[in-house]
Amino acid sequence: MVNKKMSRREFLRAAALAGGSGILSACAPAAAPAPTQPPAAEPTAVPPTATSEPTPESWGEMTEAEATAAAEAALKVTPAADKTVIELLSVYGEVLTNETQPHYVVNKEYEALHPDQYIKYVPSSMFTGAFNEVLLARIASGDPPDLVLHWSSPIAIAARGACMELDDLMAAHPVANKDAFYAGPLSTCNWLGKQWGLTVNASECCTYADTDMMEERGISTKREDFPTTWDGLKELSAKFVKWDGDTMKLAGATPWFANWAWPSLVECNGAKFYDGTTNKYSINDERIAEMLEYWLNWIDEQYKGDYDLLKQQSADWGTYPESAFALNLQALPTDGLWSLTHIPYEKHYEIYKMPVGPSGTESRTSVWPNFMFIPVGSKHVQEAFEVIAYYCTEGMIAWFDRWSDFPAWKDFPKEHAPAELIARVGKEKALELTAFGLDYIGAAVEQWNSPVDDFAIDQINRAFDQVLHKATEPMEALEEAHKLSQAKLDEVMESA
Amino acid sequence: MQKERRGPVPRGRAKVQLSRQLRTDIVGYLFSLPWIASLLIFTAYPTLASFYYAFTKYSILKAPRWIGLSNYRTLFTMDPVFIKSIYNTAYFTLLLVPLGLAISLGLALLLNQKLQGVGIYRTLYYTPSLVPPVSGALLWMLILDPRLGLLNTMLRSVGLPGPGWLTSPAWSKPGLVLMSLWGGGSSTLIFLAGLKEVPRELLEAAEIDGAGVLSRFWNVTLPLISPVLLFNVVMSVINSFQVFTTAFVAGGGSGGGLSGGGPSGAAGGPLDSMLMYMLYLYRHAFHYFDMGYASAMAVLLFLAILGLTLLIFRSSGRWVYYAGKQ
Repeated sequence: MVNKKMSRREFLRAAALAGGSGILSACAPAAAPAPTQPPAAEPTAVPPTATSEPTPESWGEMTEAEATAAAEAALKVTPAADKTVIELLSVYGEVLTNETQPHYVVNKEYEALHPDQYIKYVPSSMFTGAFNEVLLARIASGDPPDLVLHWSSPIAIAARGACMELDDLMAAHPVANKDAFYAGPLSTCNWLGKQWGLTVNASECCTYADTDMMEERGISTKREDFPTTWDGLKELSAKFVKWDGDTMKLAGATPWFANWAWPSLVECNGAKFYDGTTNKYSINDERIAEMLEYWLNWIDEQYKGDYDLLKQQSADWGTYPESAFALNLQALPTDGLWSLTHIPYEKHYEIYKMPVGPSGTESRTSVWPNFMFIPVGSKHVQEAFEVIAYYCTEGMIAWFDRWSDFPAWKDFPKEHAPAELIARVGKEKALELTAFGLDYIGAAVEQWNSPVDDFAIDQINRAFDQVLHKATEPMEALEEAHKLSQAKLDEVMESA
Repeated sequence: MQKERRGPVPRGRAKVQLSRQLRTDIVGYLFSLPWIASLLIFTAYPTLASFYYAFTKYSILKAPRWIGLSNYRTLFTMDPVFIKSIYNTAYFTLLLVPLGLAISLGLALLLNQKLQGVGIYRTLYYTPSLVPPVSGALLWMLILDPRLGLLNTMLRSVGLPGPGWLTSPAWSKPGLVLMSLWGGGSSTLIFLAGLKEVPRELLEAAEIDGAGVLSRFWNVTLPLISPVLLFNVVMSVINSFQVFTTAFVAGGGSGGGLSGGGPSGAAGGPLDSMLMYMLYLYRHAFHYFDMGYASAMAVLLFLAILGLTLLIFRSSGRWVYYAGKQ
């Protein structure tokens, strides 16, 4: 009888065949999932108390944990086969927060109005900065999403031929036409006279003030009494600044730290970084140098002339919970209106318009929008625009009720205020604050709309940083930033 | 009894032997095929593609356009920030590599002792290298906070001034080096493995001959672990040239513009003191939409690392001792 044992060689051969087959089968493209009917009972992961997918109204009644579970479950719902699936690629991350909860509400509202459509919301990795890579890869590979929700203006993508123009779509829309939005936010997506996207919202910047500190010093907190010029703000700031050796006990105003607001600070002094109509930079404007000189004098007078020493006193010069303002180390920060609901409960504050510089004539403000646009290659252009139009108009009501991102829509109903803000300051004050924001947005400047925006902002940041560190003279630094930005712009225009 | 065959093997038998050898080779290639495919697809192709894109204007969104040496010309003649990024990276490398190797070797020598519980210490010293780089960077940013951070609080408690660390142009790179030293557990383990190979009898013989601790280390241990030292030097140099994550997180790599979380000051820290080469390359590729320029930078980095590595290997003949070498 022959004892037929497997030799080592035979075993290895068999293992290689089995392993290779396994790898090959794993490399095969996954079959597209067959569309299924949505389950009669709702999402697989349900929050503790809900038994069905939450209606838009019930979102507001949930705890954050419940809303997170409901949103995650909503992501897993498979739409019915007869629905048009519109993919929305979002810069916001996968972890649901109060900030992203409104998106799910708006999506569900839209779907209720358009039962034949389903919005496939695709969150991204917002904090790792990888969103641009994902978006560029999707567009370059010929598989773009239907629409994008981003924190960057689409102009850079439009200048490189990868973004759809919205003028015709807007002109034909009954609500979301150009006249429906404030000029400032609209301009952030406008380049060479064409509209390349829309801003869902555009919270402005303003000067915040700790009203307790002001009242302790006998200073009026009324809006009409607040300084309207840089000189006035500097004088007010001096009343708060206090040092103990090299440790700052209290800062006044530090407008230079709000770098996203520099375009408005510059316009408050009559100048401008960039003009989207003429497509020209003017970073080397003397009035910008004047602003820098003004800041240097301010730092010399109130902050020991040492920019680094001042920076070391806090990691955050805005209004968030870990900021100098929140820790009672600053009285007059500059920040965006979205912060109305972030400031710690125990802080009492007021908001004021941005003061005007010596060469300026009127108060201007910067906006930090959420942008929406349609990349070239979108499979559902009309539907995608309907989603954008809804987000920017009616959809903003649900958004604003939950998160204080101010709308860019002129007809936004004035009786709405974020629930969190109402809980904090009462309905009357909340409506007063939101009325201020809705009124002030008319003073928003043009910004974010250059095809080389990231590049130019880096050059401006670099120039300002060098000046504030006293490493370079203002005009010299601005000339360098201007030269590089304009050259980059010209280069992009040549190949556009 | 069958006679033993002599002379040439009949043709049929030779064919069987060749095909068996061939089959063995094929099995070997099949096993290495996944690795070869991965090398070709994920390393060789992108490298060659970079060499090509370096000669083009390429925004990813449009087809590349040939522009010859224009990217290189701009890099060397019209981009002062490029020079700054080289300086920053060189400074970082020159500070980190010797310091990192010295600390790793010192730790390895300590961990090579026959002490009770030394295994626990080995685990503790290796654990930081397992922490994800982003988490580690965020943790160190808190430790290095000039006002409330642990390090400055400790320094102030003994009467020393705490520097500005990541907020100071002068101290930001040393701060980055500190953050990078923390994850040196891998080098320590490699050194430890080398130390374990040093024959005890050589050390004992040296001791008998009157050599002290330092003398034994310099004349016996160090030469015998020199191959391991060579490996760690090469790897440290390559890694430090490519530093990215720590600089990105600590230096505000998202920089200006709204991409990646909003403006956070100048990308690259105060006065661009933390603007490392890879960070600058990244911004050109994914924020300025200039993949061609970024590819040119990548090619230059490749050549620089290759040149430096060859230099180190060339010099190794003078200071690396291979046991058994005639």
